[in-house]
Parts: sequence; structure tokens; C-alpha cells
Amino acid sequence: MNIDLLVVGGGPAGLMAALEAAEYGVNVAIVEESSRLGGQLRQQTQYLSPLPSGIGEIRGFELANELVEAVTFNKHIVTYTNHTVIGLYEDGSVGINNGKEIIRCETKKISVATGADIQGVLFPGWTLPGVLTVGAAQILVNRERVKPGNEAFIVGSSDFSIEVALQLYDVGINVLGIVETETSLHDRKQENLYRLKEKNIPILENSYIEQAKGRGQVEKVILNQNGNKEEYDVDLICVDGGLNPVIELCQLYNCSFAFNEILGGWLPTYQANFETSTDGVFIAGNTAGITNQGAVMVTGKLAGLGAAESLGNVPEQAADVWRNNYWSELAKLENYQVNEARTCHIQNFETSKTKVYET
Amino acid sequence: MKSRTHAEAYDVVIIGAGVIGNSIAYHLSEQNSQNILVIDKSFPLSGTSGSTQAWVWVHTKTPSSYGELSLFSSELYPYLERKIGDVEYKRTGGLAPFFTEEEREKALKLAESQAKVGIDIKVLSRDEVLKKEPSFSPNVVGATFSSIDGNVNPFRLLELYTRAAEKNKVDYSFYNPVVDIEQQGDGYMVHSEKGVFRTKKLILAGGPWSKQLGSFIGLDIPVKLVRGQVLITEPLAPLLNYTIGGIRQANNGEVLIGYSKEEVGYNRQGTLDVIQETANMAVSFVPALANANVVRSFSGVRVVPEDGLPIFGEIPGRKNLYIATMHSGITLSPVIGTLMSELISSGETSLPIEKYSISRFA
Amino acid sequence: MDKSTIVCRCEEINVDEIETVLKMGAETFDDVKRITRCGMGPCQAKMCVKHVSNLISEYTGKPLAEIPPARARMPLKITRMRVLAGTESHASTVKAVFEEGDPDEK
Repeated sequence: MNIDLLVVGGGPAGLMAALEAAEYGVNVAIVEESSRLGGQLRQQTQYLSPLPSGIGEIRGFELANELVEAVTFNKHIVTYTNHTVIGLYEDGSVGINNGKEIIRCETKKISVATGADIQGVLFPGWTLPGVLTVGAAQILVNRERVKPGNEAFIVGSSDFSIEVALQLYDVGINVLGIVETETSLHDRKQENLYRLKEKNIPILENSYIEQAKGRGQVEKVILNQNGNKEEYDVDLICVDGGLNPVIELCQLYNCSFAFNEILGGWLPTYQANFETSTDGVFIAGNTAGITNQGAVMVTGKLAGLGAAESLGNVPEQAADVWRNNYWSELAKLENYQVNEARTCHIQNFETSKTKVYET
Repeated sequence: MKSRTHAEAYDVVIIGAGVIGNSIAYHLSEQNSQNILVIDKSFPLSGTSGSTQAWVWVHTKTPSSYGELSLFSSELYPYLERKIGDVEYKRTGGLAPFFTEEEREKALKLAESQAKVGIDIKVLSRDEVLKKEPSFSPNVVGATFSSIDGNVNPFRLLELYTRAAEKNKVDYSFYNPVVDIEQQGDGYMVHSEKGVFRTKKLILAGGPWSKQLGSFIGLDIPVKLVRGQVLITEPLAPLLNYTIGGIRQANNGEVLIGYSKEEVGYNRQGTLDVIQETANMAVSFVPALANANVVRSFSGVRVVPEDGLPIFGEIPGRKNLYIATMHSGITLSPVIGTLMSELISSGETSLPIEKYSISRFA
Repeated sequence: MDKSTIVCRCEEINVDEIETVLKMGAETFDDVKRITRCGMGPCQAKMCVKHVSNLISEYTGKPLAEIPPARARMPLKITRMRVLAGTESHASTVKAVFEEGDPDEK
């Protein structure tokens, strides 16, 4: 395999990076470890908002279908599903497992769009069956059509877990509440808070799960709310301990890293064109900092543009114009704090070329 | 560098908390008579001792005098275990397979020379190998076998050395790189990032980092760095009866495979090139491993003295300065700790160790 | 959360076992991993790295920004040995132990 740009990860960021680079005639290969492209969009049944300009009101899985169709019919893009990047050879070429053998891929540039891992939440009993991440619960309900339980608590009140709470409610799961350790919530989508109220799902502030109990499966939960303990009969606990960028491939490329709490923890340092400290290695999507789906798509465009420019397919001036547009769009789409953190992360790259953290 | 006046004072400072430094510290501390400090730039197991297959391997070690030293060390393991606790030492017996008839000649010669020092080696035919180790490839031509070989859990070994030494009042200073060493009269000042230590006796047990330690006091320590990469499978049902040259199965069922050697300095980054070659070796040795899942690999930097043999003992012309650095530290750990502690506390050893002196390189 | 709460479900390592290593002076995820096996199982630390980092931060008082992430190891995803081995049979850096033995006294 010999190409200009290898995109690792077929989620929204990877697909957008591929489409953007292909606009400029770059030959792109997308590798995706699962059997289908689309990533997290595939199980988002809700209407997405906010989205980049030019995309009308659309549900997540419908958007996934549109993007997949666009890459499939693009003559500059080849897609490989069920293909997993497992590491690097000494000469820098990429090893890809196709299920039968390891393919050696030589590529001029690479865009790492490997997304994020969702973390769990620790409490005694969290390893019992019936405790899932909100992400896993959403896949079961929306993709596999399996109802994982009947009586549920959600732990963690991110926009994403609120969304999942609503979707579980819609398939007939009784959501007793959303457990949140904080005492005041900022920046949650107003519309979703309104829908929670409508469905009578409370956000239980200043609360945490003291323990989950049961024989071979969650049967009871002891909830601590404002210091008072109470026991509930539930068979499902969906937890959201936050998202962490998946950075392993960047570690193998010996990129430098910095810690940024708001962007999700350790992530590669990168420049305005989304290129890391390692020449030719670009990052996109949640790998470049945890953000919403609309913003993820724009980071994909930025990484695709950056790769096309560095391949000489876009003149610098034109690239700068587009890049500025995308950055303004990103600022509009993503949460102010996240955008601020991202800008700061990039400024740090510009001011210090030293390796912040070497693996 | 000027020494600070208020340096902490020790009888013995050991630089390096790996399997060699820690063994010396533990064995010295058994006498409970000296103040001992072990200082390390990082944390136990972060270097060579934590990235090994951890065979306790004797029978192919040559020349036979070196084989004999390895033999003594493996004999000490059961006693060590009685003192510091269960380090999962298993004397499984070791098989070194060969795949050509020419190698049988070499094997017979090996058996003959090792017999002189009491290492009992059988040269097995193909059928005998397959009878002992039924999962081995039928392509094997033969193997040398000795019942003395085995393996140990290096993580448990280091943890238990440290705990036993701590119990005997040994001090540890981790995440504290040594930045300079200064001779002062008959003793030494050890300058570290976290402070200065004054010591009567100093032991360099830095493994792959020995060269740098030596340079602080104008010593050339003739060692090479060799990277080794090892694959680990998911836990498998019992598959291997013996420790095989290149492969062993751990107590929890994981199989460790690897015998790569690359001279690339301190670079510990693994490469798919070697990982694939190692997988290839695994399948050609034990075909059933083809179906195993590889969960991870690790890579470590080993230290190899230029002539392959251990370097340990007092450094000639440098009073109270000692060194212990070698390949096969896991195998040799108990015997080196024993001999070095004898040497440091009494100036004498129960076995002759002159041939391992660094002076042989002069 | 109490001392017996599991942190690493693959290897069943609890809070107490991790704190024991922190008392020894461990400062990184990999320090904890080597001694406890926390993170060595099938998920390769994906589920526990953040929890362990939090425990290290609480114990040592260091901010999370000073606790490095776990080292990445190949293969990045679990891979069947036969797939890794491929069909070619060559070995240059990987040697059988016997090949380097030299029985002659030096």
C-alpha cells in the first residue's frame, strides 16, 4: 500500500479529513477497525446541534450515511473497514491488520483520528454486570436494539449522558435520575434540560453512588445525596467518567504531549494546521481535544487541509484563507472554554518547541 | 562540584535499584550492621529488570566457569525464596532446541564441557524432545536439556527484595538521578538531584547506565547496550512443560516469547519488524501458538559487557569503590548479592571472583 | 469508594493494592502496573489508567499534569499470532538461544 495520506479512524473527524484532502487531489486511504464507517455518529439517533454551516438539520446516523456515501464515491479515497493499525515499523511505515496478515503501508502523511475512550466511575460493585458506560448503553439500544435493563441510574451529567438518558427513556427504561457530584451545573444544553424536566428525570446534584449490590447482577444501589443514604432497586447503572483522547499511535510516533484538563487530559501538542511535533503526523477529532460532534468535523477539515497543504496540493495563501475560515467556524461551534483551551494548547506549541512529555 | 557540608552519611551507597543493586542491598542488610542507601534515577522495574523474560538459565552459559557461576546462583534461589517470600521461582528444566544436524555436534561438545563443572545436559533426539514437550514443532532436530533451568517472576522478585531490605532498615531514594560522584579521602560523595550523600563504600549497579556512572569518576566501563523485544500472549491453558530457549509460560498462563538483539542505544521503542519476526519464531517453535492472541509486547535495554561475562568486584586502584554489572542479572542475582555482600563486609568471598574483575579489560 | 474497591477489572486489582505501591514511592502508572499487574490485562489499561492517575495524584499531591500517561505498546490492538507471524520465515535479529552458545572455553 502506497499513498499520500493515511487516515486512521473512520469516524466523523477521519471522514471529514479525507474528504477535505481529496478536494485538493490528495490520494487518501481510510482505515477503520470496525466493520462500518461513521464512528460514534452511527448510534446518535438525536438531531445534532450545533453543526458546521451548510449542513441542515439531521440526525447523527443520517449524517454518518451521508458522509460515508461521499467518501465511497470519491475517486481519491479508498476505504478499508475491518482494518486495524497495530503499530509502526522501524522505517516509519504503518502496520495494518486486515484479519489475515499485516499490511505494510507507506504513506507520506498520516492523520490520526482515533477518537476517545470513555472512562468508568469507581464505586464498590462497579464491576457487576448491569454497570455499563453510557456509550456502551447507547450502542446496545440504538444499534443492537437491545434493552440493557429496566430501572436505571445515569452517573455523570455531561450533554452526552443526558442525551443517552433521554434515549433510554424513549425505549421504555425508567431512568430514576442522573447522579452528579457537582452542586451547580453550567453549560448544559438548555433544550435537553427542558426535555429531562418534561420526562420527569431529575439531575441529582451533590450525589454519588455509594455502592452497587446484587447477586451476579446489579439489583440495588445505595445513593448518597447531600450526605443522606438511600437504597433503590435498579438493574442498570450507566456511567460517564469523561472522555480521554486515544493517543497511543501518537505515542509510537514520539509526538510531544501536554496535559490539558479541559481537552480531556494528555494529548499531542499541535499547530494551527493540526500537525503534531512529528513531521507529517496530523491529528483530528477528539484525539486533538474532546469537543462536540460539529466541532469534531471541523477539526477533521483542518487536519485534511493541513495535510493537503504540506503535500504541496494547496498554495499557502489559499490554505491560510480556508484555515482562518475553519478556525472561526470552530470558535462558533464549540464550547467557549474548550475553544479557549485549544487556542492556549496551540500557543504553547508555538512558544515552546521543546518536548513537553516524551514517552 | 563543591560538596555541601551537611551530607547525609551512609556506610554503603548502592546506585541502581534493579535486580543486582537490590540483591546486594538485601544480602548486605541481613547482617544489620551497616547503614545502607539504594538510590535510583527512577523506580524498581522501570529499567532492565522489569523488561525481561526472567529465565533462571544455566545450561548453555559458556565458558563453563560462567555456567558454574550461573549454576550456583540457581541453586541459591530456593533459599532466597525461603527468606524473602514467594517469587514464583520454578525449576521447570530448560530446553534449547536446534534445527540442523551440525548443531547436534555443537550440543554434544557443550554437554561434555559443562559436565566438568557439574551441569548435567542431555542431548535429546527429535522424538525425545517431542515426548517431553508434545506441543513443540516436529521440525525440531533435537535439543539440549537440563533440569537445572527455570524461571522466576521478576516483578515479585524485585518487590520482595525491596520489602525485605526495607525491613532490615535499608533506605531507598527513588526518582533521584545521580549527577556526580566525587572521591573524598577513602570515601565518596554522591551528588544527586535530591541531595548529597556521603558514603564509606560505593557500589555502581546501574546496569545499562553504568557507563555514565563510571564517567563521573573517570572510569571506562566496557559495556554495550542491547535491545530485546518480547511478546506476551493472553493467558493460555497449560501448553509448555519446560522453559524453552526463547519461550516460557508464566504461572498465570501467559506465554512470553522473544530472543531479539539489537544495538540501538537507549531506544526502547519496539518495532513491528522484530515483533513479527518474534511471532514467526513462536509459531515455528510451537505451532499451536498460531492461534494465541498477542496482548502486548515490551522492549528493554539490556547491558552486555564487551566480552559477555559479568563484571563485578572491587575496582582496582579505587579504594572502597565496587561495581556489579552484567547480562543475565535475573539468573545471577542471588549469587552476585551473596558474593558482593561478602566482599563489601569482609573483603573476602567464598568463591574466587578475580576473573570477573573489571581489570581484565585494562 | 473503599480500600477493597476494584480499580482494574481485568486483573482484579483493588485500591489497597495500588496504595501499597504508592507507599513504596511509585509515581507513575507504569510503576504501579509492573508491581501490581494493574493494566496488564486484555483491555491494556484503557479502563483503569485515569483512576490510577487520580489515586497517584491524591497520594503524592502531584497535579495530574505531572503524572505521565501509560506507555503505548504494540500491537495497539490484540492481534492473532498467526496474523503477526505472516508467511515469510526469516529471522535476523531473533535468534534461537542455542545459536550463540560457544562451548569452547574462552
